[in-house]
Amino acid sequence: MKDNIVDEAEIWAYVSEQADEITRAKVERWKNSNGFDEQLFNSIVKLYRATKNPFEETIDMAEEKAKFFSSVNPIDRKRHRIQKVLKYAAVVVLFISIAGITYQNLSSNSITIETGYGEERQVALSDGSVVWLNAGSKISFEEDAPRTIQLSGEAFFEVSKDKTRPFTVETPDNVVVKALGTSFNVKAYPENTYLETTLLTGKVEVSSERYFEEKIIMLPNDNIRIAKADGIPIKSIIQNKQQVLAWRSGKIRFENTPFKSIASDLSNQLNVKLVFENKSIAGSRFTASFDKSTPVEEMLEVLKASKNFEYHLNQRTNEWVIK
Amino acid sequence: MKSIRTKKKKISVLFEKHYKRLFNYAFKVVEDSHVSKELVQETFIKLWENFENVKDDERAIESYLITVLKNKIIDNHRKRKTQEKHFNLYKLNTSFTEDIDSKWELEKEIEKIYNSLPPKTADIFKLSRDKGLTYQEIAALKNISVKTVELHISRALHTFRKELKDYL
Repeated sequence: MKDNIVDEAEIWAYVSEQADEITRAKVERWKNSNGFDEQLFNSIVKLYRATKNPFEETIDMAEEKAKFFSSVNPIDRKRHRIQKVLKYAAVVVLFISIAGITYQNLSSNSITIETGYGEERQVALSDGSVVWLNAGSKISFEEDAPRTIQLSGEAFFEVSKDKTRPFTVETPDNVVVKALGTSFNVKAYPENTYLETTLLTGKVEVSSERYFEEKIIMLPNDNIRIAKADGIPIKSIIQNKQQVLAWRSGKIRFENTPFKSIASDLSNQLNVKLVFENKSIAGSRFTASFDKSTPVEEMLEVLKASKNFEYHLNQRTNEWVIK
Repeated sequence: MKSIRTKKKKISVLFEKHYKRLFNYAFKVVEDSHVSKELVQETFIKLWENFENVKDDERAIESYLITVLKNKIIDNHRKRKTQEKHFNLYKLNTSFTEDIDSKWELEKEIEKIYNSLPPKTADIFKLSRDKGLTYQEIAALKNISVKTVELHISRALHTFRKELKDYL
């Protein structure tokens, strides 16, 4: 019987699902015939599985390699060059500082820019960088060193490129974000239990003498959140840039955010206090977007539409009680 | 300072050389591409950390990498399994260890067979296996007849089945 003669190549084509209609029908007839060699067929199925090569389908070698080197060697080779330059720079600074001591007090002028609740501000620095300061936040820097900034609160930075002078942002917890020509957001409100930074473009390096030893290199869309309690940095990829930067357009935006985090944002940015008498509602998540000028009552009314809770204003303490 | 540059260069070469087989192997055991990628990354990180202590010799490095990866796979497996209650850890782990050893042997064996095939046969077989091309497509691509393609495939299958007869 002709149907009983099926060669290996035909079985292979059938098993790998690349057979044409005629071959497919032929192999199927063979499988149902007396001449079916089950052992041969199974060995080819097994071989097909054993030779699977997922690498070809799933791996971008260059990407994997870059990831590897950024994790073992966060401080790029460039740093050695910088270090060398710094060695000479240190000598120069020593000379200058001897000469400079006498009029240091005159020349160094500390600048502080602060925003009130519900207010945000855009600040152009003398080096060409731009800072957007969210509500209830503060930056300060020396007039002659606008690339070394102290931040309390939340700000978005668009850093002008200058390879010789890094742009650094230091939070009250001594977490330092060092940028290498970039745009990024740093959130470090003293009242929050965490601080976080999100990188939009370019590359930054996050370090902290207090919390961790290794420097962390961030790539675009990376978000690093450091819980102040344990100091462990957690890296994630942001899904939605809009949420991170909504505040720049006077919006307050939440995406799948727990009610208690919303409360802390409202407190930091609008000085609106929310207290929870119902633990489970504090943890439930909301997605919403408001103008900062929206009255609190209206915001709560909108949130109430999707989850079941009650609220009232305690006139004495001026706190909104949620239950 | 110079030594770190040399180290980077050396490890970069090793990464390119071994990544694919380590990943393919990990994938066949854990059956999850994301986890496999992580485990292989961690394996190379370990190599980076211990590079000075590993003998600078092809075979020593290869066996170091595979040993580390196997241990990572076992750790990963254990972590996952301890989450399951009422579980006989010892029993499953011993059979699991044997299983991952034999899978690595198989992976190496397949690589060896590919290398022993005539280059043209290996090439055509890979187009079928890795790229999923039909015999017609391969024939058109290589400018040969479908019959010739089938001949190469048959030859490859014959060799694989002969060399792997204990496994298949």
